[in-house]
Amino acid sequence: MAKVTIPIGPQHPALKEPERFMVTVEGETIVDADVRIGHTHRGLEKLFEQRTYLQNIHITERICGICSFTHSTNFCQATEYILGAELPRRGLYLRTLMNELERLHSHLLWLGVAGHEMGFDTLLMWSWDDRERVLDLFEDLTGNRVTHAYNTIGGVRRDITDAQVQRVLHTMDILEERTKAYIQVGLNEQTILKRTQGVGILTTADAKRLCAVGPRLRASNVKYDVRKNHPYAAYGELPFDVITSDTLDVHGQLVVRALEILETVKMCRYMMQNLPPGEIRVKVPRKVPPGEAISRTEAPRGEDIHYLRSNGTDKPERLKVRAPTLANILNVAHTLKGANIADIPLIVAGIDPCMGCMDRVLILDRDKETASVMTKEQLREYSIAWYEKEAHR
Amino acid sequence: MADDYVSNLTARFQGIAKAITEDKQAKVYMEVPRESLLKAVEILKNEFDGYHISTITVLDSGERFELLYHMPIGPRLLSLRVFLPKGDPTVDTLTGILPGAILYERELHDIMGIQVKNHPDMRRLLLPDSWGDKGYPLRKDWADPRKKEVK
Repeated sequence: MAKVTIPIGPQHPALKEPERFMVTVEGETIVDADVRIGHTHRGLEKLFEQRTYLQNIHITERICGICSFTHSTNFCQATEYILGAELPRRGLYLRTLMNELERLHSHLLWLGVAGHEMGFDTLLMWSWDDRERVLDLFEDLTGNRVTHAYNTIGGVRRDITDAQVQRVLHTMDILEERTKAYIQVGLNEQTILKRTQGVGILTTADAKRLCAVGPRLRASNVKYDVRKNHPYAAYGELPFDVITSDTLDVHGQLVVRALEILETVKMCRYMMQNLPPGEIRVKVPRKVPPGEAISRTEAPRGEDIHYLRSNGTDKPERLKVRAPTLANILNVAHTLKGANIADIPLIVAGIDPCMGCMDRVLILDRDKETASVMTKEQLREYSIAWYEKEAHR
Repeated sequence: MADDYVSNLTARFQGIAKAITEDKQAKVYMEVPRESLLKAVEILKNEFDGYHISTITVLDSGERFELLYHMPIGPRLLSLRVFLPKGDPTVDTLTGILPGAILYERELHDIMGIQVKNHPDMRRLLLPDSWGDKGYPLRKDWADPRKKEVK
């Protein structure tokens, strides 16, 4: 059978964000896959060098719309390492709480997207409804639902009241019950089993070879979690287990994420019941002495790493960001080989890709040489003329 | 524990690495000459179970480039530091030992103009295909060659 190469993306109904897969197929089977990223590239690493540390907290938060807090945590931690700031325990607990709430909403979001990709939209409606509860908590605790502006260098910016503690605990009770129901569905519902079992298999050896991270790595039966292996913030004091699965497929990823929600609920409860009293932040100088630091966190999607070099001014010399999706996109291209065309959305969605995170580095605004502003009418005429030139018309 | 870690590395990398230091957050830095980079990574992979590379950072520090290969080894994060002269920014590829480094090395080339020798696939990663010879944007001396917007 002849081989055909199909471009999937940058704009494609099956993809939620712009990236391009060049997929070579023989009939229904994919024999080769190649990935091209960079379509949402915003030039952030160059921008970091031109902004002060305080401004950069808010830029790092905008690297990603889902795991915004983990990026600002990383940046603040790296700066605190260079400054040698000792954070109060209450501040660390609140920062950890936010990181875990973020994991809750991200995993619930993934569950919905996975349900949608496998044609089980009821799951999408359910889990996104539960995700709303976490977003409401964010609004309650920080004032914002998505970019929280809660982190700062030296701690966090808002304290938590006793009433808010009770509301967090109440939401945890609801989410625990709901997640247990999802686990029942995930383990028994035929639609899910038929659609995910044996799809997107990544062996343990391949996962290690291709440097996979996060739930994708743990679904390939590698027990690695930055929170456990290299504890940061308050994670060293919290009770939790690292979840792995030995089924290696998309179903394994579903199980890992669902069980991680339960671990997160456990952690949030522990933090709320054992919240240390005292200050939430320390004051730090605005200028950072010369030095370098690395900060790593376990984002909902996997290992997130920031490298910071300071030069004694109020602006960083260099801030390097590597978001988890860049590490995982390589194994997606690998896993696609041998799969069916119909499984592409599910395999891609399996790693919970976030292109905005991945493409963060530098300058790609519109190309100023060719850019011009058109009126609506001009644009309409341009599009008509363009389509008339096309051969198929 | 901390002393063991650094002294074990120092003993094993005698004659290969120049300086091994540890900071307060259990991050270890090891300076390696560019000729011994592959050897060092191979030893880390075979003897220290270093299968994972987190990322590669590249810095432009004026007279030279500085590369940092971040690898979690045991309970610490080890960063291999390699200096490259501005006149000859070439480095060997790690992809033969750690295939997971392929995208990070493409990024090095794309944004900072580091030439990676023997890399299997040196296409653009982040910049558009039409970028052409507009330079390497993350270098400190890079000036935007495109026309300024008229305000």
